[in-house]
Amino acid sequence: MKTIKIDIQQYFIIIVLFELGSAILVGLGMDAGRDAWIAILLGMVSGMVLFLGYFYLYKQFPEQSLTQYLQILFGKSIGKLFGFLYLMYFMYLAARVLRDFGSLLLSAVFVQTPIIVVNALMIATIVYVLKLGFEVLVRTGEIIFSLVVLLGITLAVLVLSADLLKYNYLLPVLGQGFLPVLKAAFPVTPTFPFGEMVVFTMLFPYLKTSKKSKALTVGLFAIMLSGLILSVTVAMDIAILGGHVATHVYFPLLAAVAKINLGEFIQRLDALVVFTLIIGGFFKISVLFYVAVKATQDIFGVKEEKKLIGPIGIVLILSSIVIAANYVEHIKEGLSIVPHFIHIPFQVVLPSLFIIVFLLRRKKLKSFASSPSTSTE
Amino acid sequence: MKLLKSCLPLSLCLLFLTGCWDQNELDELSIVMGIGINLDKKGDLIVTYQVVNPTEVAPGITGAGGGKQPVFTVYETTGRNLMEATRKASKQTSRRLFFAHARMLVFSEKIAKDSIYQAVDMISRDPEVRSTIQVVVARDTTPSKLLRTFTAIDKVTSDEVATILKISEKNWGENMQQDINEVLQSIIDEGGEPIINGIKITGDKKLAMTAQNYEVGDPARVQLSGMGVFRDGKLQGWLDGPEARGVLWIKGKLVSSAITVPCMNKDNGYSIEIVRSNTELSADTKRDIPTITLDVFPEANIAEANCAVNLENPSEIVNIESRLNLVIEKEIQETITASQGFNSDVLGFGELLYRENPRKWRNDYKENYKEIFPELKVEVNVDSRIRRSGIRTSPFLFEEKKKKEAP
Amino acid sequence: MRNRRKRPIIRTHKKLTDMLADKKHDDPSSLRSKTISMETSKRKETAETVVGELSPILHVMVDRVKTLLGDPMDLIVREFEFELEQKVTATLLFLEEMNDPQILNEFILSPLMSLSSHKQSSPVPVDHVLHYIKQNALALGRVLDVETEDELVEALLAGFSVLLVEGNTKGLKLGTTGGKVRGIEEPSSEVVIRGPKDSFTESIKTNISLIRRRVRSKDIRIEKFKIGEVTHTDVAIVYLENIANPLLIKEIKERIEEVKTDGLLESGQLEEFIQDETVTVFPQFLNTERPDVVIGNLLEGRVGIIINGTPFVLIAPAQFIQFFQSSEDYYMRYDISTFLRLLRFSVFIISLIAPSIYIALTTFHQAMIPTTLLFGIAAQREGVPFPAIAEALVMEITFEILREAGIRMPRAVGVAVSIVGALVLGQAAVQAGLVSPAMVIVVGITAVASFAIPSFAVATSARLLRFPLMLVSSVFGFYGLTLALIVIIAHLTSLRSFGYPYLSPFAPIQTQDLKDSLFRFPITKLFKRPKKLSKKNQTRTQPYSVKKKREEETTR
Repeated sequence: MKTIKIDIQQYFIIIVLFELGSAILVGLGMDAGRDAWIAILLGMVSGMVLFLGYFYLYKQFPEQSLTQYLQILFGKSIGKLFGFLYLMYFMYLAARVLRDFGSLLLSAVFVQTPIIVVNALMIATIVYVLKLGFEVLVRTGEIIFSLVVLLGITLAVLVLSADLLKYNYLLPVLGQGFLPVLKAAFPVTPTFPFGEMVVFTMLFPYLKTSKKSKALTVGLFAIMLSGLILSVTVAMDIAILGGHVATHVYFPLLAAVAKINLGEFIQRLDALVVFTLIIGGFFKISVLFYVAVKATQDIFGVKEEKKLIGPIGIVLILSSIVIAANYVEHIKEGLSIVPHFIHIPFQVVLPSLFIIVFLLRRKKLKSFASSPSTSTE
Repeated sequence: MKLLKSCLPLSLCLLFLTGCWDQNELDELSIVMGIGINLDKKGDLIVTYQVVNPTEVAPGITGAGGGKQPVFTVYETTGRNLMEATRKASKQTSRRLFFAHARMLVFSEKIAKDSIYQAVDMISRDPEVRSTIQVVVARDTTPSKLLRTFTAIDKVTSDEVATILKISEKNWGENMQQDINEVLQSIIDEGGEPIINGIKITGDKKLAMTAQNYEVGDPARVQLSGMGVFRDGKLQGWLDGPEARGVLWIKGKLVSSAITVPCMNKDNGYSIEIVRSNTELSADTKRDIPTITLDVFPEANIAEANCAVNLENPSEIVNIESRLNLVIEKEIQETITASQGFNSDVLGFGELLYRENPRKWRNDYKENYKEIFPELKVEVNVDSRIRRSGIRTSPFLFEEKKKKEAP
Repeated sequence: MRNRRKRPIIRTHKKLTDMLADKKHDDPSSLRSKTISMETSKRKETAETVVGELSPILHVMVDRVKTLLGDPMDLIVREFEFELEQKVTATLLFLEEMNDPQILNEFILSPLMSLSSHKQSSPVPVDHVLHYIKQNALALGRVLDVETEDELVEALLAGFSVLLVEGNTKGLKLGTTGGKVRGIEEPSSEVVIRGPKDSFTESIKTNISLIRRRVRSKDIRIEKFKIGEVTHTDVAIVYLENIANPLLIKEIKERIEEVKTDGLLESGQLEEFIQDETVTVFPQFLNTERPDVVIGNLLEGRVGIIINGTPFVLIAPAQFIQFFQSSEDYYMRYDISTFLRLLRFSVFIISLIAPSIYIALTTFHQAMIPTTLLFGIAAQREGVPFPAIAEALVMEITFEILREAGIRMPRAVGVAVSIVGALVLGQAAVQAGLVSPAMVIVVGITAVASFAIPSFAVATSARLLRFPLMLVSSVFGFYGLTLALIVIIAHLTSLRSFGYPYLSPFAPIQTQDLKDSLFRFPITKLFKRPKKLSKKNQTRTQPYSVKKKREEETTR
């Protein structure tokens, strides 16, 4: 098997694109009203703490991915069970994001198109790209990144020059006190999108060996950058739309951009933004998809990852439709059920459990880890 | 892989067989430019759509069609709610109504007095209607008449109204653009109420609805007319003239306007052109009834001088400034009194109080804001600066006066 | 007389064969030729040695050659005699029109025929005649021995003349190649305003000389191959040994050696043989007819592949961005060339997606069009019987037909074609209400845009991809278009040209190389060669400090 190596800058780009992918689309921390941007910053900080935990685990097993070292930590069978749970989690995440984007398209542009068609088209694209290899995805990410940066700057310039920002909408800061912000920030905001960094436990081993020392700082920096971008974006949404409208539309960014009107010519850019967002969504789903493929490979011992891509793609299409009956339910699940019962266990509880188990069994494992254990590879 | 390859042609077929859900050729669309909403006697909604006829509007098109067709057509339907009415319209039109380019939403006074909440919700929920659509109230007329009016310059009425609003806000400042989003936000704002532009038809109202309106030199026109003040989604009354301008002063939205300032017993002494203005608001929330301080900083030029004054004398300019301050102060105070009379906080004072002191707002003011608002004390300070006096120095009236006094 | 001659001839003949055989046993590699065709012919030769040997008897030999070549009408057999110790008969064989008659007359026939024995200081034995005249009589630079029939025939076909002397089992091939070839002219496909105006020709020798003249480096390497069982086409690779990556050279050589085909007429054929990915619409090699382009690329560590018979030289490995660069970029000011590069790239994007965007906008996203423009387009669409996609396809295909016709037509008819195209198909179709004027504009922009791309190869890829993109956007609007573009980007990133990522320096990002990609930094700031291409000798420019010095001087 050809080993994939990720450069440090590619790694940075993956993290930023992954974090922004779908989070920039839906309003984050909107329970905090006009203080949503503070909630995001809080979420970012706690997300960075979580990342430290994931990174610690990786430091102990620099050659293995999560599903591989679980089998070392707990032994084959229990490790595989945990691995399987994580596989399910990754698949669920992928399906969720896919659903998010399907819904976005449906409510904004393709009102009459069945969601399965829209989702299938997206998955078909991803399957094609992943068949070309993860490396291709990463490199495509590099191009996408520069495109997104370019578009982001353009949009920022347009918003500023269209004189849409009303800073009054952001005042008073912490008008309801700190409590609502805290309530909005925890536990939802750290888990999405920052806690989703847990998927990188599957990707760390692909880092180029010479760059591993930098990985921690670069990772944290990437999270910080994406957190700042998200926070600024949400603040911008609120300053354009006003606190109420921003928190009561499904896609605030879209609504905000729709207001741009420069000289009666540069206007109606929202549809354009939809497709920029799709690029981000494409990338996020692809990463989750690939991680799911990797996990499946580890757990079921499949040699060729390419064989898994097609079937998992089909599973994703179907599950993205089945996970919720309608968009309201989907969002409701996303805001109240998923963070508490799915994100927190998988992002916080289980990883801490792994760290504890590792610390307890450290001596025993040491001999195990140092020996070139290639049984799982 | 083989399976994939064999699937490929199949999926290609699928692509073409299925893919026309949201596809609409341009010639299958009716581009709606304006939406009017009225109530009939039974309480059902009458919805009017102004649909443009592109061949008549497009510049330089002599192709298909051509000839003498009206620029727009109007469809009118009734229904218990907006959606019902919209879909009913398909009984009359061969094309799908397409709302993305709608520029004006007109309420009749009747529905405005009843409640605008339902309509606002429907319009802001529809993904096709853009949030930049301007909201107006038809004053002394009905939406259906307004949307049937032929206007001379911008041939489509809705287009004309939206443009008039934009230009008038910039140059006169008695109206301000209010799109659906701003209306929605002002309803939600702490203690806030929406304020919506009024529009009426002037001139020969019968002629207005025929294409002959194009052919006369002095046609019937649409005209902005004051701003409607709402409370709880119901129209309470109108702010006209200087009162309406006061709203823009207070909101800091005034860009430019012309103000008449008296001079030496002459009411029509100077015409002052405001070039820019800045408004600062602050509130004192110590007492039960808060006090609000308004500081307005207009910059102005002298556009006309209708009295014999030496404009080269700086002290005279200071004199004019102080008189200008008085005029503006009066305008603003009138506006505040008027809106307190309607007991409708269209000025955003509630939001200001919330910004200044969120805790006190939540605990004390919010509950009985309806009682507090009419009692609010507002201190208005205007500090204007006159920068220039056109390209002439002293008016010739002054020179003449000097001549008379000299011998 | 005959008898006397025969004996020594036979003797030497035997000797030579022995010698030849010995040589073969001792060191077969010294005789090994690089190309396949030579190797195969060698194999044949070892199988039937007797046939391959040259016969010392002249008329036998001449007959052999005639039968081998099928007695062609342009084979000239010139028998003549000259006097050394005794009279010697010799034959000069050559193919007419492939040799320069003036050289033949002045430097071969005339000195040989004026040889006479009394000039000799010592008598020359018959079997030394060949060596003797090579040393003393032939005033030519290029004189080589020919030892087998195959060599002889090959030499004849390659445009040498062959001199055979009675009683010798060797012949001499003489470099009298000549005949009519096209001169060096201005390049026809890569016109520049500023820059050298010469271009390659069909002759590999001329082409190599054009490169040599500009690079006076001892490190320039030119290696020759022969490809084509029938055509025996000369192929040469050119590179700078102190810059190019040896692994790349090895790979290219291996790939070229693997080519087994009957004929090679143009570099495009070789391109298809040795490219990495076969399922792609994007060009894998840069081709150029400009020597300065080749040299510029050599300096970056790339390799040029010259093929006899075509003025188009291949450059490998190629990066996508190269197709948007012109040699002129380096001769003009950097700000202008940066602007032009960005322009060309946007032009590529336009020619790729302009019709798709039009279709997507008018059939899916009418909301995005500014209102007044929408009125215009809607009014034009009024009464057009076809859906937008059909309209676009018809127009695009019509345009492709016109373009193809314009290229193939005799020049005189070309004008007529363009009139018919512009007037009949454009204006009349609009007036008849078959297509909307807006569509004509879009197609027109697309067409003009595709001509503005400097590389014809990439323009063609854009032409090809345009159609699927149009279909996709007619079915799924911008969504389909976005996904299709992602697929194209992913495909591009997956491509490699001789192992080098096609989209470098963008993916993977090479920060240094970005300086000379879509942008061109000032020449004084381009210090490094492309990072991955040239392992050795990375620095190409030293910091240029004249200005600084001046400033210092003036301030002093």
